[in-house]
Amino acid sequence: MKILKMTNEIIGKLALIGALLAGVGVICMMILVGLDVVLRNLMNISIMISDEISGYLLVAFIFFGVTFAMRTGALLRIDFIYSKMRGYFKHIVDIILYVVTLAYTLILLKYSFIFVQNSFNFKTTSNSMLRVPMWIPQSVIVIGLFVLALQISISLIASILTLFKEDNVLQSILSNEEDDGEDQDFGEEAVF
Amino acid sequence: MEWGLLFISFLIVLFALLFAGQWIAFALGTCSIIGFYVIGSGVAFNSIGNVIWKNTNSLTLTAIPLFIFMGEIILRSGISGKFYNGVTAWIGKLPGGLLHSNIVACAFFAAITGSSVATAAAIGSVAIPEQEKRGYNRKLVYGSIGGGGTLGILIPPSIPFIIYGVLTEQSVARLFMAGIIPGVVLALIFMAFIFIRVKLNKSLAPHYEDKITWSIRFKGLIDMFPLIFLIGIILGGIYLGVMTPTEAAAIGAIFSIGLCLFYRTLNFKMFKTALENTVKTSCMVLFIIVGASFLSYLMVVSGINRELTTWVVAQNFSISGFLILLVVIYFILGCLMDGNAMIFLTMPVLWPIIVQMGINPIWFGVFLVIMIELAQITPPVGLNLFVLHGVVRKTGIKDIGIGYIIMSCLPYFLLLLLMLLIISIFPGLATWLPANM
Repeated sequence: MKILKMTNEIIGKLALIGALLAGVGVICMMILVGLDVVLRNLMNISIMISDEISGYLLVAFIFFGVTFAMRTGALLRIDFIYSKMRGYFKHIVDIILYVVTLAYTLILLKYSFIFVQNSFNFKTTSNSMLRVPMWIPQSVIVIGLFVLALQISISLIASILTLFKEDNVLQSILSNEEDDGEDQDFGEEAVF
Repeated sequence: MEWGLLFISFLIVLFALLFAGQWIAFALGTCSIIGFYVIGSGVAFNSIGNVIWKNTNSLTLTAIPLFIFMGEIILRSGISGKFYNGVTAWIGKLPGGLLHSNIVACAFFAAITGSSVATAAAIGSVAIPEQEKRGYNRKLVYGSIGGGGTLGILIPPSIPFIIYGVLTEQSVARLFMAGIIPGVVLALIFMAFIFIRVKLNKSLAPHYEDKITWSIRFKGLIDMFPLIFLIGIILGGIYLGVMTPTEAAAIGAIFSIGLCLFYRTLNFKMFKTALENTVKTSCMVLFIIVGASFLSYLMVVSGINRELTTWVVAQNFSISGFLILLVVIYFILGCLMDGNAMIFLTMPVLWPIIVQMGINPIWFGVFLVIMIELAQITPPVGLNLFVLHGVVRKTGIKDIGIGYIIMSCLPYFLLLLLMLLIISIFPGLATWLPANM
């Protein structure tokens, strides 16, 4: 159980690092694209590479951020039936869903890896002046999916173990979908 | 395998997964991968990496996290209360008083923040206690906030338009422009509804007695200025061709940070929360795109698209008959799922049929977004209803059930249907502005 808890914490850290990188990615996109507009319209200069880099940043944003989104319960599901499920039945459904999710993620991981490997082997580069070796931006897909697969695996293991015994550690792993400080304080002031 | 059987099997597996509670992104993707196995397409498997890369490495999609970030910052800037008061200074004297402020403030705020749910929470927490105190009819208050909040996705910037544009390869800039006039008309229809109801029964809303001087109006203008200016930059920049929607999103995000610095509301915690929520919300939407792109790919390689389109066209549906059928389908889907999910789920299948039937794709974008607005206020999954219910309870009104909120929003549901009819009779409302860019 201790190992499970530790593994979950490590995956949590990885998800957080991913979210941090995704957040930095948004800021970089904003500055890069914003700067390009200003320079183009005011000084007739264009940062030729801003479109290309923004595209790469978006891929990184999605795949680095997705595990964090999953852990914090942000991924969308139709839950009007799911939320009514209870006890043993819910555990079984959870296990089936995690198995399906893991299988899907592993298939994506496998074929994404082959895709990146091909880019590496064939030395594919971008068509722009940067001539970026494509395997570099494409690897973030593999890294992101790998961390996601780890996250799903640990949830699956915890779901299976929960069938046999109730345990606080297992519960804490399964309820990673904690609300991590979302503040509803919109700083309103009602002055009519 | 015969395409019809394959398609029906696909739908059964998809809905079984969705209703069991599978995440939408994974449900779409899993069904598509199963489809690849069934049709035995090795090429499809080998294309998985390429499909992911091609569909996520997109400058147009970059607009989604940037607009969401802008909205998150604005949401926390403390500007919604000021904006509400500013609007009230100008239209508070109309019969219906603050109810009109609800509609206008919700429409603007939801457009900027991109979230009708956050808008219902932000404007609702300001408006509901005040209107309760003044003795407004509760049904009209809740309805105006719930209904008003739905306007946000029609008035640009709008995430559903970006998703639709990317999935169907339509210009997001034109789609944004197409939403403006229907959005304004819809807001006016909502206001006209309130006006008529209050004219017929004055007890529903007390006359706004507060004295509004020109100095209050002037101050109101200053309070409204930042949001109006922000929408002005975004829409003006796009309309004049100075900026693409993605660039407008970046400029909007920078402007919103500047605004918070000006109002001294920006701090590290707020910035961190805004960024965190941007990552969560955007990844949620963008990861579904991965699943939806597999679905699109499956529909093409399996021949379902081609066969289904041929079959539908052979049925000789009239365009209006086909659209009525779509209204029914989207209404049912809207009762069950989130609006954006509806686009991901239906566009890969319906798009070739829409093209084949000769329906204007820009007009259809507006039609689709109005259907999504309907979905936001239809039970049991109408998110606006639940958020509004939560806000109402938070303000200390405990005797209101979700059923009451649903009934409050019902007239707006009917008015949205009326709007569908109006844009069907006058398609120019949606197509004129984009045609003149």
